[in-house]
Amino acid sequence: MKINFISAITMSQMYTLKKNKKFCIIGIEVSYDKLGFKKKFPNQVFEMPVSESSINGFAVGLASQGYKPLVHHGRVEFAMLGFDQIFTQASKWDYMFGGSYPCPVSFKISLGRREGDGPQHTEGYHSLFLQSNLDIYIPSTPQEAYDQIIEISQSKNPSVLLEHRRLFLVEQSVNKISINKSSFKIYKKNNNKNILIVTYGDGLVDCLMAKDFLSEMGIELSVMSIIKFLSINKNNLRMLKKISDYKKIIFFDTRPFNFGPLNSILGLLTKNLKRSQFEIHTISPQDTPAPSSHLLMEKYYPTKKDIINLVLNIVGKKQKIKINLEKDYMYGFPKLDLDKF
Amino acid sequence: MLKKYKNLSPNLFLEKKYIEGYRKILTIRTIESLLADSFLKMKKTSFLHLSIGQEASAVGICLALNKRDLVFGNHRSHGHFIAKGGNITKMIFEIFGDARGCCKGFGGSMHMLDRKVGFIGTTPILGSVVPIVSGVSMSLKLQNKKNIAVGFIGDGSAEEGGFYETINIACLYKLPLLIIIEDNHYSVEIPRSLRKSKNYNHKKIVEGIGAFYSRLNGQDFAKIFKETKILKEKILKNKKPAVLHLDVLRRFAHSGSNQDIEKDYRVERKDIHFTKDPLEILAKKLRKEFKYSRADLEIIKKNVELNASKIYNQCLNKIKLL
Repeated sequence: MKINFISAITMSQMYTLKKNKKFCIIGIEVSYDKLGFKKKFPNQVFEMPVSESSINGFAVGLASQGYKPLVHHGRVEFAMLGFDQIFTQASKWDYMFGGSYPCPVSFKISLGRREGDGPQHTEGYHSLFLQSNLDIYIPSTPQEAYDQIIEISQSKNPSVLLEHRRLFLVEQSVNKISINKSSFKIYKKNNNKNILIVTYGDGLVDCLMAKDFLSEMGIELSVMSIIKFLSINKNNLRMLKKISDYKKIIFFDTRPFNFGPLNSILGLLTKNLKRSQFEIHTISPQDTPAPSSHLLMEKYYPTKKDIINLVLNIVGKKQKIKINLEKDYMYGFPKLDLDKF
Repeated sequence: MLKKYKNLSPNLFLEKKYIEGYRKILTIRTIESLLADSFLKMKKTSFLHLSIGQEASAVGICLALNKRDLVFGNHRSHGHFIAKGGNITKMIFEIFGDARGCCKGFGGSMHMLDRKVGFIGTTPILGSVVPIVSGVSMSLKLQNKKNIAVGFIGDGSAEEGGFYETINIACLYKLPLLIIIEDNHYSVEIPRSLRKSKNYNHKKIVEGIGAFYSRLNGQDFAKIFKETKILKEKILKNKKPAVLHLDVLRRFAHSGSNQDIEKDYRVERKDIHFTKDPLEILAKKLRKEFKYSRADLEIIKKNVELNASKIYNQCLNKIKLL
């Protein structure tokens, strides 16, 4: 069944509420009729006052007693009002009590860009989360969103699912029994080992659009989307090995690159594989907060156009290409059918 | 009610509880005094938050609860742990970072845990305690248990937003929650006059949100014990959370082995700690209401001190110290 990202997340939560009676949804605006959670599962859905710190703590306490709460936060900036409970309590709980005392609380936090939302509604703070010892999930597709909600509901670890809202209308045929254990996904057509773009979150949209465009020009490249960072992750090494198969690597980030997740991957790459012969390129916004105005957004956010021009440059083609940047793509919710990739 | 108390007359039940309280207060005081000595001798500078002088609060509350009532503490929780029946040997091991400790040495002095007796943890980030305990109390409610969750905080952490937010959540969801404010009148060393407005009124705030509120002398075991019993019944019967505000006197510094009276920040009389000693208040009650002689109480005291010291020294002999 072909569904969009937001429907996949909703369906997956509905499925989990039905399957696991200890699974609860907690937060602000979780009882809306259009979501359907509260109507069908009144005893597992807790609408809360606007009290982020206490909501998170309530969920930590519930999780410590064998429940599996998923807390919704509509913006990362609001979730920050309750970061003590995420970073100091949830992430340390089992460790500070000597193990065997899990606190499997999860936080679903919406983040990222949209026209007009400005500096205080568009942050990411991914690197903060990556240093938290929590399991971090960053779905880029409806299938990943569906799978990851189920995965976190079955995990004994505390976790954060970072939901890039720019992906909400991206579509894909979702297979309800496919659980992907890998922490990354590679999109490639043939055995091309020349150029790889590494990205995560909503960066996948830009990368796949650019890949599609370049493919029509006869230029093939691969895209790696990183979809989870687990606290103890054997997959990290596999991911690094995959990246090192390529000669030319482009890191594409929709948030500033410096000290971000992709900068860390680059650091791990050079540290663990002792190889400094990569040709490395980065595409990302400048090191400032994100602007509100659509005119400034055009200057701030990197686009598929930047990827295409860089790749053309790398392969030695110095032609100028006219690329249409659609309104939805640039400022709102891009509509992309992922089935063709 | 525990089996051992089942067929006792109310008066005998109270006597047994008072004696148990007397023993518990003495145990906490003996163990913590030994800890203070060891830390001083070893020149250990790590955090050690002692509850000597204010033990009645922990003991009065915990003896009024049963094993299935869940207690969550804070940075100063050796007393809460012992009062709830926590394993003392494991506590001592934990404080000295030994793998045989209640948190296998990963937590230390500020992380106490003994889930077997319903002591479900502590965190030194006090503003976090109340929200966490509210979630714990929701778990009891969802399982239809006739038990309550209890969280210990201080007067400083009762100034945090999470305290007020959580009382609201607890009232909204009718949670079986009891919050204890152990008010030693200082946040570390800052007096309340510098932290609270002149008209600050806990009662109006807490009752205004919709919870029960009660304030007592936190040095008086008997009063605390009786009030906790009443509050537990009220919480479960009326489906309404409660805050029990206890005025206590910390005898030691915020952290470490120094006596608080050696410091010059206190505005109270220097002898106040001794005139309001919970042990003396309880001893007086035992003498007056249950006709114990000074000699009887001295024998109990000697026995408890001997046993507690024995446990402590046995542990210390087994630990590889820094």
